[in-house]
Amino acid sequence: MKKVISIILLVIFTISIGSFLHLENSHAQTLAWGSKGEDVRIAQTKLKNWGYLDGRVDGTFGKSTYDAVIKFQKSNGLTADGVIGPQTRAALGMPSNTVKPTTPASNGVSRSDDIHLLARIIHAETKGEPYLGQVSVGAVILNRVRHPSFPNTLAGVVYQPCAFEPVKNGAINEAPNDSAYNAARDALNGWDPTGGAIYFWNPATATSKWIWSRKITLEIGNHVFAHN
Amino acid sequence: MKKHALPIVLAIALVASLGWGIYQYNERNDYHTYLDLQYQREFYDLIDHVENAQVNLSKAMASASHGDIVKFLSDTSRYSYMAQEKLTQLPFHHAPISNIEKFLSQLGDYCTAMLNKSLDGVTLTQEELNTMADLHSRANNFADELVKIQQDIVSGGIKFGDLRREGNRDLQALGDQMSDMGLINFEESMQEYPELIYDGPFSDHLDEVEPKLKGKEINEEEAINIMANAFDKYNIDDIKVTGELKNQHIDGYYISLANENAQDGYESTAAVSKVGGKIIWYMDPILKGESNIGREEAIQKAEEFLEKIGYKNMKSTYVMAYEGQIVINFAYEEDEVLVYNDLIKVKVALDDGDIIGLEAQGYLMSHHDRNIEKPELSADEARERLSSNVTEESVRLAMIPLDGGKEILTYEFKVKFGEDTYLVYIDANTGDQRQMLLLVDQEDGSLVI
Repeated sequence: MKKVISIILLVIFTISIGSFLHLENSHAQTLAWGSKGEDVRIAQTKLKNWGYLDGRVDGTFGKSTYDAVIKFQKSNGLTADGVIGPQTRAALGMPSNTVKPTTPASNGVSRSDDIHLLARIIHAETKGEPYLGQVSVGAVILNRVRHPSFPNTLAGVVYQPCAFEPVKNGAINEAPNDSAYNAARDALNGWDPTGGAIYFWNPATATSKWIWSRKITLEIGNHVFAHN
Repeated sequence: MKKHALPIVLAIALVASLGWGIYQYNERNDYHTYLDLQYQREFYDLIDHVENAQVNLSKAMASASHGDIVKFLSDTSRYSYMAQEKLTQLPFHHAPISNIEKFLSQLGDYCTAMLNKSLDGVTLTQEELNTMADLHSRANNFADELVKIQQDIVSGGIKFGDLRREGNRDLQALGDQMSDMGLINFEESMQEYPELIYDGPFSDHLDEVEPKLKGKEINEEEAINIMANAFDKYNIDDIKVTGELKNQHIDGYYISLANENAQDGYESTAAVSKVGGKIIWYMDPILKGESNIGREEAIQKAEEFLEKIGYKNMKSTYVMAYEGQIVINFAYEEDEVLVYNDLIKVKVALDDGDIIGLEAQGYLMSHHDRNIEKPELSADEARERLSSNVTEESVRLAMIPLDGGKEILTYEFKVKFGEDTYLVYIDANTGDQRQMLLLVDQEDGSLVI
């Protein structure tokens, strides 16, 4: 099941590869075996002065620093894991110079924009269809976003050339009605009556020979649906 | 004088319409040229990106240190996603290029999965290196084909503007043109490309996941009874089986339930699983505007409904309210561990507390007896892995899904950084940060954990 964590739907997730690669460049980050830099030097100096560190103060977190941190943690009642995290840092009296951004990271762009676009394509594609058909069309479009053979964004899928008739003839620009909005919301919230379909077409108007080579799995209103 | 009036008017009209025609013609040509050049630009970018992806992948294979491998793989996946994006913006029909699109997506996705492995300090296996070598040679072939097409474009043989027109008129013509372009050859060679199994969202094994739902098979009549028992407001005569869900993760019966909107095509619909007889989803497309009951009461109604249809230990995690309705997310809770994979969503009407929607596919696919083991790390030990830039608000154990379909036990920290609230997921056994979510503040959505 490809559903990315849908519990927290309004949420953007970020992968923190960058911070992992540049462990040494910033203050107030966790120091562990392999860390280098000024922060390590400060920690080593403190550990040396208090008699925990046997080795040299060289700015590189190695075996001697690791042993010293464990010793320090044990004698100060901290979790002895050999990692200088927030608590150990505080116990060492090191500056935990904290960066505080002044503006929020996002102004809530993520989903409300998606709803408008999805509602527009649903409205244009499913005039006169039952509600089930509207949600199904929305679900197919969202399934395409998650499918490797299609673009990876909602706008990419909706505006893909040659994909949807209403995009070609401009009907997509019409204002959607309440029902289309409702269907777009249900689709974005994870309702998928098609069970993962990525194609739909109208048997009465479809001219493409290729599309008929798909295996029809489902029929709703004027549309048929297919999974691959 | 009077008898010349008509010819003069006609002559003026002719000249005017000629002028208008020429203007329109020029205008059309301008648009056509503009479009053609935009497409050409995208095509050049496409070639660039494919070549860059290919070169970076070869560098990654020739690199020794994890750091270098990560750097080159990250470039490879960036370029292959960019190439995929460019390709999907060109005016091709889906059929002739769908395998190429898939190839580019999976190339990027596979490199990301390998990159994450390298970041964890794991050395890539011989098999994984072989897969990378195979992907590399395919990317190489693709780049070669693209360069040939580019030469055709330069010599004036192909106009993208035409391609779009022809394509719309007649698929066969497009097919011919595409094979002239050589893309068809490459597309055909892609059909034999093997299934890729790895820890990423586009991995092929995710299509074949079996549901964890077990139970005895039910017939149509039982399916109707299940719906009637769950929703008192429908008479048994109003409920009909209208079809079967086949070839899906969970097979079942389509059910329609006549309501007051039925004649406008807005009747309620549902699906009930054949195995185990569970409601997979239910939708009542009623549009309501009034809000008479509060959030707490709506959550309580939803909880009562879930108990009634046989779901216990469900905890509400997130709600979204819209005009007159509220969607509540529930996750299964086992020994104080929140299992996000076992997800059920319930929609409640805010005027009278009526249940107007249910979505349980996540729960039915993944719920099983897990026997969650005690974590290796304590909450204190996990807390040490947080950045000291953030302020902790709460912590709990949670089982979260990973991209490759696996799930892991984590500590979920709700933290503040500046004005924003984040959920940070620290692996409860290794202490690695596995996931980070930024909560986007919206008027209508809020976390209720």
